[in-house]
Amino acid sequence: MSNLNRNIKILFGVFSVLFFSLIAYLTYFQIYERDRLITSSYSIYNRRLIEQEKKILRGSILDRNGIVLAKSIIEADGSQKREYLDGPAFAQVIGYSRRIYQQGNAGIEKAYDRELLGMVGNDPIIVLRKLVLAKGQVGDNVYLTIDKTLQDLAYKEMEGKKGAVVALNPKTGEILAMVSTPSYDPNTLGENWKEIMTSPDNVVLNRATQGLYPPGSVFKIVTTAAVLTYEPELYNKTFDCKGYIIVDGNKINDFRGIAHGIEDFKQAFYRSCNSFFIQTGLDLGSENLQSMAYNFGLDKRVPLEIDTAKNYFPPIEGKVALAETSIGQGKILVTPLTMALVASAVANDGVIMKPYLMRYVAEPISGTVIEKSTPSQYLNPISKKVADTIKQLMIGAVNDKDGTGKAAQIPGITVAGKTGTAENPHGDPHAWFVGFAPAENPQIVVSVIVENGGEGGKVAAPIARDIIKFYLTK
Amino acid sequence: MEEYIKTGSKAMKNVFWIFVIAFALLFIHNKPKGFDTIYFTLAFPILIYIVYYLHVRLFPLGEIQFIILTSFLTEMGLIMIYRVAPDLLIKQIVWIGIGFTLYFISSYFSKHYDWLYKLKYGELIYFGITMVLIASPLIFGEEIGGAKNWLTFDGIYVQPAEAAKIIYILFLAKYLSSKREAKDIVILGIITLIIVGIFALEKDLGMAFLFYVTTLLMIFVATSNLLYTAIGLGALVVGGIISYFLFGHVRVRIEAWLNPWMDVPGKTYQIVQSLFAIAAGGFFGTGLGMGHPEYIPAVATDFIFSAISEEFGFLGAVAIILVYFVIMYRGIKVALNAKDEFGALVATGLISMFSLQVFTIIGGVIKFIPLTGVTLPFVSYGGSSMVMSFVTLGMLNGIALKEEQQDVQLKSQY
Repeated sequence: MSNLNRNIKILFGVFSVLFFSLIAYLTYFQIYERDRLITSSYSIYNRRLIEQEKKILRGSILDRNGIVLAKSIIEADGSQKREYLDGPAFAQVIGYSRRIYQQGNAGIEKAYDRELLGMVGNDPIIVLRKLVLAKGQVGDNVYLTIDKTLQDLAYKEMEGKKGAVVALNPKTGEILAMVSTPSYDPNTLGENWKEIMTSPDNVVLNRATQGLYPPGSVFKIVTTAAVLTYEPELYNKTFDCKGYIIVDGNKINDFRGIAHGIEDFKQAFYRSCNSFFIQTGLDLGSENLQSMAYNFGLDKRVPLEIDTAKNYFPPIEGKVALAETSIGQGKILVTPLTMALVASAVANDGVIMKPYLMRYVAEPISGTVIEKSTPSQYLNPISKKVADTIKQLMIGAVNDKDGTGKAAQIPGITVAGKTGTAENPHGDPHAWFVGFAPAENPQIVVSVIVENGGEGGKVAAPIARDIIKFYLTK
Repeated sequence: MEEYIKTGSKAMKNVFWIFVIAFALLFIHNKPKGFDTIYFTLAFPILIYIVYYLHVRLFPLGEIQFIILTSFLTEMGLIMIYRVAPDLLIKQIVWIGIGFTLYFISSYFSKHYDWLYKLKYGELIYFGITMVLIASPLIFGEEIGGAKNWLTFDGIYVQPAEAAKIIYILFLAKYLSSKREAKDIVILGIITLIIVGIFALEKDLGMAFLFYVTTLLMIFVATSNLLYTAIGLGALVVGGIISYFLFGHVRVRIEAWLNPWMDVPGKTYQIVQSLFAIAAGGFFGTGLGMGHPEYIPAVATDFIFSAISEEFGFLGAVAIILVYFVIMYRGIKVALNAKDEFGALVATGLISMFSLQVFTIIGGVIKFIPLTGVTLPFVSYGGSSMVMSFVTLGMLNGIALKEEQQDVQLKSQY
């Protein structure tokens, strides 16, 4: 009998575990799975959302200053129509709602679907207030971190080119502008769905977050960070640049084969000397370089409300691969947003803030803020000391007489930056520029890529300059 | 004792007011179709109060918690059933009435359970009845919702396996109170496999699982032999894998559990709709009448827990789980305090079957484990399950009372 009682007590333990595991799983479900489930693309099977959408006037999307970018209006027949007021400039960021084009959804329209439908704030008071004030018929408004005037300027600069621009505040991670070209007019998505979706230029792709490119010389920021962090004595070495370097029997040329002669680290950075950086990379070793690249998140997917592509940084194998990687060539592929974050680490004392696009969500009637983003740290790849040293190098790359980024100079404002001219198999090199200003107290980081645009210093740097100038002087 | 009754009355008052407020709201939202609905709705609180006072009077030392907790659970069931299928409300109230009546009857019967033990050829009789009950739908039954586990008499659908659960427990208790040798366990194992096989033919995975695991737990409790339990669990895994490859419906359930997104409009529609409902509820629920639990298929029966999660939220759902936890706890107490081994084994079996069923269906609809269709006791719509759940608790109450009686006798000797 005593054995029996002991066993029954064990059984009680078993059932207790089972019952509490149900509660634990429900807790996990509500905390982690719930939002994913509601925002997932499978929610087209969720009739709750569809029914609610029909009844609710979808909320508006506004820029950081309250300028309307997308709004819904009720047509004469009672159906809803979505209007995109600044169509092509915001097409990829704002995306589209499946509830309007049944085939799918993307961008902010997807990420904040529930908010735009007024479905967040299970807070009974907010729900009740909505019922009383608006009969539950208006969704919430989403205010972006983007500045419409800056976005428009960036779009104008990029018009006719292929590529992307990302501008962000390095101190908070707020994205101030995000442009991808060529673009399309989302207002015609209904009629031209197929044409837009299958366009050879891939206009729906957000090149800023999903375009993967070799970083080219912009990557030298990372190589420099690895030197300063792991092998600081390499920073004091000089090198005789002959315009080419032979690695394992392979000749790697400098840009246009120009021989820089004897130069120190600073001069090599300003001029973006490949031979120098290849030699430095070989001295540094693949482990150090790789570990620093990982610190910067070059092998990860950048967290953001909208879809981002996973950066690609395979393990470096062999001397040639190490040489290529040191100058941002080889197999690495990164998004323009990622390179903006690399520059933001330099601008923000070594800390990368988590990027975000939503400033706050507010109920349209009372203006009550329902959700608000707060800045948080994403990565901390380098120390403040290392960041300060790289910042000086980047100031030199723009302001020194030999600097490759001289086109980014702005009178009265110290710009720091780095150019890139990334070789690629698709034709002319991609033109890169990442930079920030004012260097003493950085307010804005800009990352620009022009696909097959040629020299970064000539093509990408002026675009960045105009964006920075407009933002800091308006 | 007085304190005890006071707490009980207080709990009943809460149960009463929840019912009044919920139905007042529901009737405003969704006007009752006829006066019948109103009369029967009014009858429910009267019914539970009568039951409560009867229980206090007839069984002053009985498990009054069972009455309070089942009043709450059946009430939650009625609220949700009126939300999603108002036409079923009256029937369900009738079933609850019958259930309470059978609770009292089975309490009386099992208060003197010695005869259940001493019954000549008891083992054979229990086994025979079990087999007849579970096999009958295979021969005479109808297929409903993909499973052939129903009998129909003049339009009334009966699930004989619900009754078989209790008879089978009696069989197990009787068998295991005397036969614990290795060869006995092997025979029992073969018997169990036959039963599981019959359920498999009826495509009733839920019952197969409940009978199998309950047997396993009972063998462990009776023999303390962990080897048997380990072999049993191993066989469960192996059997699961084999049936995954052998039976289409098993494969569908497991695949839907691993990846509910593979075929949302088709095979995984049910579980995905259930998850949407739970997600829509969040922590506090949408509020009664403000969600859309009617979008879930089979919501009045198998998926009623998801409906509660949607409108009463995580908090409501956890409350339900905790109520079952307390019932389980009381059942275990009854087993521990039982006067003899047979009583302890019957109580253990009853509460194990009951608790496993609760875990199986809740775990299934929240996608914690693969979904198998069994009812949520006292809450789901359905007569067989309702009545047999009441018999289960009635028998536990009887077993608890037997001990008390003997105590009284003992005391009177001194």
